[in-house]
Amino acid sequence: MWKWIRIGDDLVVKRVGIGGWTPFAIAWLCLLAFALGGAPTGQALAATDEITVRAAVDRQEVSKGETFVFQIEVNGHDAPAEPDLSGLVDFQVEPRGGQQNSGTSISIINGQVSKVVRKGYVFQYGLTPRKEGLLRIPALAVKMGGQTYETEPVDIMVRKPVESKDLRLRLDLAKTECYVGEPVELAVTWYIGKSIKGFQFTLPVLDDPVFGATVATEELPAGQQELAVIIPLGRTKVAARKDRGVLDGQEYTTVSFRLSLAPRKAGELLLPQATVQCQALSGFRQRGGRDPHGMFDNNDFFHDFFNQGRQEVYQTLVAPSNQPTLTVLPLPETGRPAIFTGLVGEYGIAVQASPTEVNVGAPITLTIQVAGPSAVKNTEIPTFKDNPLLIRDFKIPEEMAAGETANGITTFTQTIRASHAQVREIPALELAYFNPKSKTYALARSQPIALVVRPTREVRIEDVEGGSGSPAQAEKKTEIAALEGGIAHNYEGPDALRGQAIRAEDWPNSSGWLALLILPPFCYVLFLGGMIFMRSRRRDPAGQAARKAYEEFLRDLKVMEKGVPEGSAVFYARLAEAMRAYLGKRLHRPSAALVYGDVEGLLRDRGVSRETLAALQDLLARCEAHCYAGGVVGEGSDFLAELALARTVVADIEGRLR
Amino acid sequence: MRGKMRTLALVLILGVLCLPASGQATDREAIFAEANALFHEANSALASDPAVAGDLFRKSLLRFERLVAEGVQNGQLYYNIGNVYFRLNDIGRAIASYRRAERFIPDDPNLRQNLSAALAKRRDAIEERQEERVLKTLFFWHYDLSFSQRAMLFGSFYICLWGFALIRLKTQRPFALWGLMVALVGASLFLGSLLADRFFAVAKPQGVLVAPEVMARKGDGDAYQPSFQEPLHSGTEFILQEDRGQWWRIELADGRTCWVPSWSGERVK
Repeated sequence: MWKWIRIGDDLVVKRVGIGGWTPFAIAWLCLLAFALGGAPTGQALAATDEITVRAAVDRQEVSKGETFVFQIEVNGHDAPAEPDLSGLVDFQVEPRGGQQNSGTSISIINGQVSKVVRKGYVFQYGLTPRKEGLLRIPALAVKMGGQTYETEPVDIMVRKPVESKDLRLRLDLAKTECYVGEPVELAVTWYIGKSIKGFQFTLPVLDDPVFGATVATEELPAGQQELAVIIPLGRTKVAARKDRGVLDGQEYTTVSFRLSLAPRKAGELLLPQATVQCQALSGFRQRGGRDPHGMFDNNDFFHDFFNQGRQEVYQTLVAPSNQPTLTVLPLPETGRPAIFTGLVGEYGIAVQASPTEVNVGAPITLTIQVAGPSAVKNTEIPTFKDNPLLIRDFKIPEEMAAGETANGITTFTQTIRASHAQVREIPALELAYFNPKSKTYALARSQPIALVVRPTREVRIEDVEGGSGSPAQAEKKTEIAALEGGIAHNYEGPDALRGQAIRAEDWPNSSGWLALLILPPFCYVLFLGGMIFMRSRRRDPAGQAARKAYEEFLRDLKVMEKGVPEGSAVFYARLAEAMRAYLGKRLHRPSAALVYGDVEGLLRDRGVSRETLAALQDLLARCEAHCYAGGVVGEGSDFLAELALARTVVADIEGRLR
Repeated sequence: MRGKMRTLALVLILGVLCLPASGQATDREAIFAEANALFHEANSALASDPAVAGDLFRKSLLRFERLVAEGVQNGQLYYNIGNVYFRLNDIGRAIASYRRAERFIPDDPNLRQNLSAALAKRRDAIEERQEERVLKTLFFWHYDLSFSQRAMLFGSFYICLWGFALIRLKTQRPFALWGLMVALVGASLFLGSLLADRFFAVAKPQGVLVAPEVMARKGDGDAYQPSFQEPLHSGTEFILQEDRGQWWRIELADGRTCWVPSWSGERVK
């Protein structure tokens, strides 16, 4: 905007902006607003993506047991819900997290500002095919913005893995025939004949409920811990042992671990093929493009020196396992106890109770230990409802918590309460199992536990009111002891999303701390300065008096102005006194007998003008005349004029003396 | 007129800048609520179906970590992440998350409780150095009092210091001098403690082992001999002394040093 402005006698044109802001500044502010905020008008220029969903894989031909990358790419939305992967029945799915894929770009062409906002999200998974052939990743649903979008199906060709002589995988059963539910050990051994890095096992037997497979834990002896290799297996992990072994006359490095199978159905069960995928060293290639004179700048200099300039080349290999057959015999029906729950092997049971002397209704903790070839679940031991004596004499909770297994013994804990005072013992608990060696059913039995159950004390009204001070009252008081361990609740309020400063590191930078550090010394310095100033003034009373002289003079004149004159003599005496007091203090002279002659020289030296000196002399002379010569003030005497004159004269003198 | 135009322009620009921020905040709140809902669901399923609970905990974790990735730096958020790892029995990452939370909310009682619970579950028992115990005895106020308590005490002593200094200007009585000396000593001690917190937070980076087991070695490579008879386990805390990319040289609580692969640990900062 242009404006006429007068500068001196000239009128000139000056370019001004709106409200004093130049157009250049306004343009940049608008651009900033569009870029950072997206103003309502700015949105008309912004471009965004429509929502699309796409499935992508890093390759479409893999071997069975080989993991490939599967991505679901979402464009147009950056907060989609987790996709529904329930349709991926032919694959083992390993989630690998997700990340946003959003961004903003601004372009200015011919003054037109356009902003492109790109929103996106990528879900990534590792998929491992469970079988061979042409498999299909079906269309998967992704929900966002209240709508459901589907990906396109993707076909994957899964080849049968081929065993190589350098990488071999073996499954060995401890025995090939067993009964339903009988624990059988399965040894998994990987024979490695070349350098490898990174590996992943796929054991479908763990996911097949027919085999009831669990990971067997093995503690390596002290001193051999360095031989342990931790191998993730889906949701669990196993400590494998690294060793040397021979297979078909060839020596290998071996990695081995054990699983425990407990087949759940009879028949000839073929173990599903396991695979192990790894990156195996396949050769070397020469490093290219290296400046021979720059070798001392090259970070890989030492690596190249020992490898003679070669780079290792790895390829993905998949080693398939053999598939042994396990013959599972059905358990005989003859002689099966009613309380049999499926345990196969040789088992024992022991029960302990504490306390053994209780009142009716008081809790008794039962510790039940079951020894056997494998861990026992709480559903596999007989429930207390199978024992009529227990039901008759005790109150028993509906459910029992899962047991803890250590060193082949599973321990369960249960709380029971005696129902009446005639209870004399906790009866023996029985555990039925099938012994595969004798091929018959057997019962393990615990020892009964003697109990002393006292009748419950009758509670009277005075006990309830607490007046009797009886032992029962004292027994009721218990200390509330804190239980150690466990964690506290999550935080769910909006405070958890606020940005916070790191207190231990950033505290010196906070304004509160700066204020605390600066304010007290600042106040101290102020106070100290004031005190020094006051003390210096007190050391010079004459100087202090001189500084106050003018104010006191004006105050005296004001008093005289307000008061009624008592006669000219009194008036002039007071005026003279005020003037002498001022001059005496100001010029450091005794004021009582001060006359004009005492101060004339001093005032002239300090630059007081002749007119002021003359006026002062006249005024003092008039004062003396009225005081001592009895001069009579005629009808024309003007007190106020005299006071004004005195004020003017003294003001002029004060001005020169400062 | 000019002033009014400027004010109007500023208000418009600020209003526009706030628009996307408010939208972003709503998304974060939704993700946060989702994460907590999944955590609750996982807790409910923990007793009956641990496998399902584990999946739910992992989903909850993804959401919490997404908030961190989006730039939310908050002690309570890191605390929640620590709780999820604790439930997943990943003690190393739980301790690392609790230590990160400690940088923001060092005085939080829930954090202290949960960190204690996680530290109690560590497998490696490493006694701290004798010198460390002596220091903890000598400088008990630094170790036993929380950051806020020390900051408050420093503030109090500091104000008293200047107060007594002012009183000394007016009177030469002994109580003023004594008060000044005591306040000076107190302020110096607590200021030193706060500065030590800042120094060690920056100069001595902390870390936690997160791998279930790792064999510590005497050098930066698998070819070196192991440093100890047994491997180190998840949850063991250390001070990072040297970073050589794939290998870290660490100092344990008892002062012993060793090398571990960098993938086996996480830095707290």
